[in-house]
Amino acid sequence: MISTSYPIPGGDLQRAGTASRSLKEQLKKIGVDAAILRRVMIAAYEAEMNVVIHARSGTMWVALDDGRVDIEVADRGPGIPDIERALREGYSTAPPQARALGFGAGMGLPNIRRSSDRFEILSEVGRGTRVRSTIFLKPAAAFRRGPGSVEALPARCRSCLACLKACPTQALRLRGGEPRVLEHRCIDCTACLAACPDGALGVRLPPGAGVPPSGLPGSPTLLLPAAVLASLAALAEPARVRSGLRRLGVRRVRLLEEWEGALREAALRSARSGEVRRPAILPRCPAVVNLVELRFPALLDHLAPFLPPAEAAARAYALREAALVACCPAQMTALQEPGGPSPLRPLLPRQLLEALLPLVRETGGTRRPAVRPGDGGPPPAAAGEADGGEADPAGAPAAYGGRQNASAGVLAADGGGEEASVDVLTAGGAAHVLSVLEAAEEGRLEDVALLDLTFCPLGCFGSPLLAEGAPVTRHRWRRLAGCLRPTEAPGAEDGPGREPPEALREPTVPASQNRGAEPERFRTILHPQPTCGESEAAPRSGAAGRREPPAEAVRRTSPAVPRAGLRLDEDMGRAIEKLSRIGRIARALPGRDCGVCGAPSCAGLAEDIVLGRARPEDCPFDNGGSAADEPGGPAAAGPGEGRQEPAPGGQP
Amino acid sequence: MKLHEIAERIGGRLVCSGASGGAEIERAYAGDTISDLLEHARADTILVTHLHNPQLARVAELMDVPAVCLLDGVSPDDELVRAIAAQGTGLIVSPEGIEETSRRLSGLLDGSGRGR
Repeated sequence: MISTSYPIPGGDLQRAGTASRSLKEQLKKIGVDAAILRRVMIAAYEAEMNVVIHARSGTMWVALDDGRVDIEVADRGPGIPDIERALREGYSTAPPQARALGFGAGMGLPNIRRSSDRFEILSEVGRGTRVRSTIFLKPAAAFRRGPGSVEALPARCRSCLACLKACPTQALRLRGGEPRVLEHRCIDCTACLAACPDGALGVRLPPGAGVPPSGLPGSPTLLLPAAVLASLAALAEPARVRSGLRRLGVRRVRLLEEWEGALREAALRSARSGEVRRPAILPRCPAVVNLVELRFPALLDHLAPFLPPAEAAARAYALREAALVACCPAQMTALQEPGGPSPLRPLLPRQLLEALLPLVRETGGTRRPAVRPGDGGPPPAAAGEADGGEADPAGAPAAYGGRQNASAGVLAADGGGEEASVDVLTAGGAAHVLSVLEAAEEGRLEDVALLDLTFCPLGCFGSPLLAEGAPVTRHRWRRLAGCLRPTEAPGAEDGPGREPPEALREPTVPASQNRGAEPERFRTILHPQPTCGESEAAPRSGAAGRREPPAEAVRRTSPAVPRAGLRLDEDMGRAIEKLSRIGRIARALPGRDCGVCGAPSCAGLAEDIVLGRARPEDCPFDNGGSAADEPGGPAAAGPGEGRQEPAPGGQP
Repeated sequence: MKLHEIAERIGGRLVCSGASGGAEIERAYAGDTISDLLEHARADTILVTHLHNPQLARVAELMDVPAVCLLDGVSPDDELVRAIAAQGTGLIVSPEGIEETSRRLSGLLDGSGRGR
């Protein structure tokens, strides 16, 4: 991939257009097709002129690979108060001097959108605007998927085969003692991470991820799932965690469940209005969306047309300093959409913990590790030095803001929401997700309005990147958020016979009576960074602090499409022949699906043999060599094999 | 049709013949906003417009437009002429307004030209 950035000075209408001209020169050098080049120029020039006309300055960032051109133009300007209106043809706020030169027809943004295969605009009044345009150089690139975030760490692999059996899409191979991820099949779920006992599968980190030694720059807002916050509470007393977050530079903490709650409401409205087919699929878990695109394309029009919560939060903070803790590979991948430098910094739970541990230790002991080694890196050294101190449930609600009820998203997520008992079907874990989607595909769930499915059990509470299992993490969260009734309060960690602290004996407000106030109350409780003149003990209220973007459901700008499968051959005739041979070899193999060959099934080995990824003798039970004797013999991979291309029906 | 021939047939003045002076022009598009011209510009199209500022040259350059036709007998600024000439775009000036020029071009380009 080639990436380049071009500065755009604002205001100089006479000399404007130099960034687009430089881009054109670059694209012509590599022989981009004239029709594609024309569309790129329209998008680039219109976006550049918007900066020149409306903003003080900006930057055009362009990334180019063999399949697509991504253009992002970001400015520091007044922002757009009403994006919907700005996208209407004929609407313009261009000043008279620009109109005198022929601008201001209100066609700029519509022209960019029309010329783009994918288009996105983010804007915030007083901060600026980002316009993203993707133009595919070849039609097939529209269906191609970039690399995911599941990473194999061969040095740790003991070839136990657990990952092969766990993967719901047969995306893993194990040959030569090393796991390999087939990117075209991987849906970035956590099944293999959860199954691997040795931490040989982790999450690939993008450049710039993590916490610098000097702390997080720019006093960011920290966006994280409630599950991660609950895990931090297992690390040390919440007051110390909060103090540690302050010292890391975190100004404010917000939960992704705010966006989840907004998504749930929007998806339910969408399902009940008939906008999407019943049962609607809640796009809460990005791995479930990936699975539908890959294995259940017939259910694509059941997907509610909104972005998952982490992506919606990332877009809300695209123009602000923020860090987002991703709980799974799918969330991490979703944060890496092509674009220019973004102030949003992706983190893994482990990285937050590693940065937080020394700060927490300075002010007292730690308890236990909050993440397990399998999240892509070694366990933090200090985790093994946990002092084993007990949780202080009384301190948790106080430090995080007193006895609060969870947001609507959290309550609904863990079964406490109103919708869960009506016409919402909730399921977690790979096996349950698959069975529910199969039932939906067969038309057996038309009495259900909404499917709320997550690959991890109990949603992000069950992420294998967290140290404790789903029930324990959720319990911690419910206690932290004050969801539990006093009689339920003594949890496993308290041990038998321990009396709940005084604070927990106070009656809690039922969630159903308090829902309207919950988001605001949560905004109030999570304030690590005091403003000038405030003491640490008195974090400012949401109303008094710097205004944060609202948590809203974000509609997809392009519909979900079937995921590319594997094209067996460039030539259709040869592809059909290979398909036939795969079937013949699979029938000749023993059918044990044992995994010893390194493929998860005999059918997988047959495909590997035909595509040159394996040999017939890799099967330890096929002593007669029936696969090798198959008419035509196993083929060596030819040119073009293994390329990802759109597969009708989306089947891999 | 060649640019010099077009200039002659519509009674216009050839200011710059452009690097593509020998190129065939098959289509005309008339408009007075940059976005409009940008959207309809092609490598075989002469742009017909009242606009005569450096951004017109920029549009022509980015979209590989072979020539531009200004209207009402206007005298283009030296800056525009220099920019147009430097990038190899042709420039003619029609003595007529947008309607009459479009009508003449439409007739010239054998029905394939369009104007408005």
